[in-house]
Amino acid sequence: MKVFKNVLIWLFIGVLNALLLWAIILLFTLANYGLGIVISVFLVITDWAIFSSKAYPYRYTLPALFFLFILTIYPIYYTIDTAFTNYGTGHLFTRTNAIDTLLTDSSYYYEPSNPITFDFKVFVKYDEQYKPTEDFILLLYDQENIYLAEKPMIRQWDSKGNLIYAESELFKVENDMVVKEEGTYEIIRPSGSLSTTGSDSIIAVEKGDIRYNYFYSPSDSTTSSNSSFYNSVLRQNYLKSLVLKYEDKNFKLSSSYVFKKFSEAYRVYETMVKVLIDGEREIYKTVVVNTLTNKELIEKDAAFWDYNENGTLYRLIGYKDYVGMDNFAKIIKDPRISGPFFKIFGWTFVYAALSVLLTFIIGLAFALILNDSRLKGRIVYRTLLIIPWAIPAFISVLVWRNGFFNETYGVINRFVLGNFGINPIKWLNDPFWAKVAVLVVNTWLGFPYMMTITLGSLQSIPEDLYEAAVIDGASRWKQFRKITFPLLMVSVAPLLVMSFAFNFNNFTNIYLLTGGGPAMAGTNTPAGSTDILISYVYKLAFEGSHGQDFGFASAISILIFGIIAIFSYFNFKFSGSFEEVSR
Amino acid sequence: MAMIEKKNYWLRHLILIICVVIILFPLVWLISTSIRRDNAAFSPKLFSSRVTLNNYKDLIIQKQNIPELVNELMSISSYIGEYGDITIEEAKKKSNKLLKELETYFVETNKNIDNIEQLYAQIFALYDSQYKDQFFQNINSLRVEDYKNFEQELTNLVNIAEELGIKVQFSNLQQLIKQYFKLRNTIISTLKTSNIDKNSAYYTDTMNLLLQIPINTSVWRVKTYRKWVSEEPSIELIGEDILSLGNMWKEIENEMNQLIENINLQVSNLFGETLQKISETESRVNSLNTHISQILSQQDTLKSNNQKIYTRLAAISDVYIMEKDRIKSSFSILEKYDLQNIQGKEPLLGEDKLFFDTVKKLSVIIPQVYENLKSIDEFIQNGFVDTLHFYGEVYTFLNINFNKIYEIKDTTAISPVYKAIKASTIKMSVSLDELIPLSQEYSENTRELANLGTELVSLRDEKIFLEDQLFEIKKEYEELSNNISKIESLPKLLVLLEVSSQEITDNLEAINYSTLMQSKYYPYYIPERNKYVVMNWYNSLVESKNKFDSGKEKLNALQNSFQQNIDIYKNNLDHYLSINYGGNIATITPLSEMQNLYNIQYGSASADISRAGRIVSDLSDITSFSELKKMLRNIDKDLYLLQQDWSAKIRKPFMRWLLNSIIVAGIVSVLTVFMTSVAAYPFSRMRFVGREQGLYFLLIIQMFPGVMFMIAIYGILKFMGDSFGVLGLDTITGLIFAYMGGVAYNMWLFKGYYDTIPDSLEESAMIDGATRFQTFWRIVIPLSLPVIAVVLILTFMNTFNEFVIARIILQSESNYTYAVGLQTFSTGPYETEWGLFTAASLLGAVPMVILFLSMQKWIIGGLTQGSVKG
Repeated sequence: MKVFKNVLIWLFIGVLNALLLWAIILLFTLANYGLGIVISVFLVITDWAIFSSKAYPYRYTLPALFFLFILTIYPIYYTIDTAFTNYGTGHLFTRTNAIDTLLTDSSYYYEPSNPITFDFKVFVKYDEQYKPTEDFILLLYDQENIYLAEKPMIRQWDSKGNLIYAESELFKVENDMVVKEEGTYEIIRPSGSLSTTGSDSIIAVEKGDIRYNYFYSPSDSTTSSNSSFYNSVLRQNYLKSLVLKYEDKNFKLSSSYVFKKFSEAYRVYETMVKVLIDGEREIYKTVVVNTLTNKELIEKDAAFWDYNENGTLYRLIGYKDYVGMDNFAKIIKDPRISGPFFKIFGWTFVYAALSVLLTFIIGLAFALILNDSRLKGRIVYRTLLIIPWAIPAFISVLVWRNGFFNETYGVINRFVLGNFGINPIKWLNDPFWAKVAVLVVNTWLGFPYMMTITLGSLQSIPEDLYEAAVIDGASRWKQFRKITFPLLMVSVAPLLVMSFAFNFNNFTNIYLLTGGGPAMAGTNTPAGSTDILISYVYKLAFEGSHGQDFGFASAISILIFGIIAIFSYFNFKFSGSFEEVSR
Repeated sequence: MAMIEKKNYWLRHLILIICVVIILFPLVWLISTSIRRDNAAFSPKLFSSRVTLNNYKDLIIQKQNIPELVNELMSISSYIGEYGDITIEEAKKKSNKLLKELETYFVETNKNIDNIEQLYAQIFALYDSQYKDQFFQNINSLRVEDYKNFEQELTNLVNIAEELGIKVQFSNLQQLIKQYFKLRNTIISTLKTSNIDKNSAYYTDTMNLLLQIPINTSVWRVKTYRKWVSEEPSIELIGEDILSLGNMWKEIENEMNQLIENINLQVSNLFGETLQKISETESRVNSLNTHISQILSQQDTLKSNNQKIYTRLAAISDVYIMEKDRIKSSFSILEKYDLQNIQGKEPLLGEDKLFFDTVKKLSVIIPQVYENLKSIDEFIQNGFVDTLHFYGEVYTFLNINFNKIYEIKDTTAISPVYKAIKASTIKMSVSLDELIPLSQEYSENTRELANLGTELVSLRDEKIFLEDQLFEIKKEYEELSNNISKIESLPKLLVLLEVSSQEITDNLEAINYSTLMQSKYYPYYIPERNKYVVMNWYNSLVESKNKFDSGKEKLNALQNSFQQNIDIYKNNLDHYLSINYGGNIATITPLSEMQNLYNIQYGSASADISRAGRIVSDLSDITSFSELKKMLRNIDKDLYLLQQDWSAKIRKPFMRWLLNSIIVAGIVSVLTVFMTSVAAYPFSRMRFVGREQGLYFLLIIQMFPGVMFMIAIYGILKFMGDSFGVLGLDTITGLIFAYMGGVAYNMWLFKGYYDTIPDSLEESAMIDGATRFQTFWRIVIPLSLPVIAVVLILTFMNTFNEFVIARIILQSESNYTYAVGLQTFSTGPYETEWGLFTAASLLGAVPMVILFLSMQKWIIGGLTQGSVKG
């Protein structure tokens, strides 16, 4: 039994190491060095933990450590790294990827003037149930000749699974036959037909005992019922990016003929290796050349630029590049960004502070009212008052937004204000009222938490203190000020700080309620009047109506790091957590 | 003592109850909106009594209704989507099942329609047999109330007229009106008792005409009477009576107009003065306005002139002021010089002569200029005035003593002085000639401006005074004119008075009565909005029945054509299913026909049915008879169910979302508990390299929300999905992976708890031969069940409520978790389906609330642990 267990353990260790090594190698080949390094470090620690008896404690931490590394340490590194790049819309790929796109994307092909064009027919092999499969033959034809192409073996995809390149060879058909090593393709026409052109009726193409039946042709409307299979399967997976080669010519589906013909097409851009002398060393650099003009593409601002017919520079494609402190400098220097940024920054503080203040005051008020053990039904009241906290925040916020703050149909505008004769307020479209709305909702959501913790700590204040105060003749207010409040703050203060930090980053409430609020004018980033820093970051990174800017978003994330770190420091100092560490 | 405390508690209870009601109101709203039948956004009522559980059914069970069944049949027969790979047999089986469901629906629809018909018949019957009288009682009591009001109003008007001194003679008019109504009633009763067909359009038209006020027979004569009389000659007599009725009304109108003219005459006699006064004051105000603007433009001209002069003068003054210092110091020397014993001689030629002449001129000009400008602020300020004053002294002195100075001009003391003053004076002589005219004009302009200014002020004051006066007069007059127009509408009031004295005996009369009352015929009577609904009750009921009938016809026609097509499809099912098998897509005519018909015809049928439903529900709200109310409610309910069977619905994979959320939250919480309970153990029990740093690090990490790592996590998942094919974006496993990063906080909870378990248990176990890990597994874990429970629950709840990362990672709708999916219900202010949205919210919220409330103690303990000491 023990041997079995040991074998199992060694097997497990072996598999683990193999997997991790494979992942590391893959990462390095894909140039994802950051993640590669992180996993390597983890691998080292793991092996050390397993094989060294001194590292026994680490064995317990390994699973958690793994996730910590991948989901916390690596993202920190990644965020810091991205903050110094221009990663975002227009600069999404690495330089290598950008070059690849220039070489393979169909928009970078050109048709020469007076190109040779062909019509074509698709022949498909059916399976046993007479349903079409993906095994097919293409016949290209013009007035005189017919050419045959097999299904392309070479295909390339991009990261989303879209076909970006496919290649196949064209063979000329002589006497309705193409002779190849593996077999001969024969064209089968209706019996009695004497034509030899491609445009006349062809029933099938046979190679040995494999029969490819006539399936579809864009110029033949009798095959239109097969168009959905052709379009959704054959064209998507093969023909879309197919390059047919014959002698020195290339043919692609031509957009000028609405993809109903094949036409000559050639790549506009090719790569070339240039040698640069830097001091004493030779450096090899890959550059891209425009084959029509024989000019090298210009690289500036982390993009490739080319000259168009008028001689003006225009931007082809951008790539990700390091830009140093640009993102941070942008915050201060660019007035269109720094204005909104500081406004958002200020509002974040104000919002967090006000939220804490309001929730605390209301929670404290309720706690004081409910703190009397002689009050009947206080448990009922407490339970009822906790409900706003119990309802998942995203539900409550959506309810508030749609049902209550809606300008035209919301309950507040229609029923509450209507009764008092006040004009309806444009809640979520007015910068000021949107802020009010956000604070109202946050208070509603947050006061039960404050109420609960203040109740808890109120109950821990001994009664004798109050009795002594009453004997000495202190009024209720004095009792509160001198006894209740100080003792309360001792235990609640750290929680207040924690609550401040929580609200500082309280993305859910703001985003779901106002989406960041009515947009601020005069800025080219998606900044809104109720945005807090973190929702601003989110919008910058993921809602790119102005273009996604991951670099800038990461820079701001780092700033938020810094601020939160300062707060956490004070929080932990207050709550004595630092002492716990040294215990 | 006890008494006081009791009182306090009442106050506390009161405050608490009010607060609870306000705070929990959103929850109440949530519940009430989710069970409403109508679309809460467009309803004027906050809570509705038309309730249904259909919203919940639509989310949970999602039973397909008719249009969805047809669409699914279509998909099966075309072998697309999820039916891409089925065999013909399976397709046949499924299609048959769906066809059967369709037929059930048809049966149900028929039953529903029959039900509704029955209810309508019942309600009409009830009305006729039992409630009709009561209704008319209510109607007539309304009428009597109106009558009393009108009487009162009449007396008021008469009083007002008397006060104003206007005499209104309306007894004649009243007589005419009474006669009119008498004749009208006769005609009506003749028509009613005759054996003319009461259902014919002519009859109703004529009745409506008769009941109309004011009556206009010309259209009726052409449209109805001519045709009717050719069909039933017996009408002729009645027709003539009707026409004479029309003439009588014309007489009444004439009398009314005469009365009004009379009143107007009296009005202009009595109150013409006031009107005149008003127009006089107005024209005076207008002329004031013109005058004021004239002055303003004069001022402008003067100001611009002055501006030019000022520039010129300022240039000159600069030159003068510049020389001041030089002249000053020279003059002070000259002053002190003893000139008594000098003879003096006069210069005859050249510069000196010029100098002498200039001095002469200056001694005359400068004082004058000084006089002109001495009170002008601008020149006082820039020092010109002072300079001029000083120069006046200087040049007077020079003029008087010029000869003497001229004689001694070459002495050592005087020579530089003489030269300096000569140079300065010659400099200043350039602009001598214009000084006086410029300064004079400037000071005159300034004076004129001041005058104009004062005039302007007084004009403006007068204007304000007059305007106030006008306002007062107009106010008084407004009241007066209001009263006058009221008095002028007195004739119409008389008509209303008479109308309200006539008993209402049938629905046609009731409807016409309420139309007249709400038509502002007498413009000062504006009844409240729903005052006369009871009069229109029967009519609305009839209208709803009509709408229902028309909708029913359309629906029946649609259902019949559906049935035909279904029969065709059923008969040829095998054939159809095999045509399309194999990549072919031929249109299946019966099915596509059904879809077309539905798209074309259902819309109007549905509109009719929902209109009928709305009318019926409004009626049920205002009906006070409970039996009728109940029946109306039932009709409304059945109409609603009818629509639910037929109308296309918004479908969302709601249950799937809930399932996703629960799966993700469950797996994440279990895995996290495993991981962190094991990982926290060494931090508590052992000492090793990196322990303190690790703990610090965990402390700091606690504070950073996962939201900030979203960019990186997105990248990681994308990479993994592209390269490994698992754990990619838009997968549940990927989401679970992303949530596993929340270890820091939980490790602290575990560590804190482990710290409270004494070491001794484990030490004694190890002495007995257990390994470290065995002590952990067998002793510590069972003792830590409380904290395990806390972490489990907290993690479950936090994961369930998390939506940011889920939103980034999940992209296709069927993969959403509940949190992300809920947002798709509310894409905009008008597109929100409030019923569905609130029902969906409740379905998610209620279990979580219950979970939270039952685990309160543990959750709060977990959250406050580590902060509240002792």
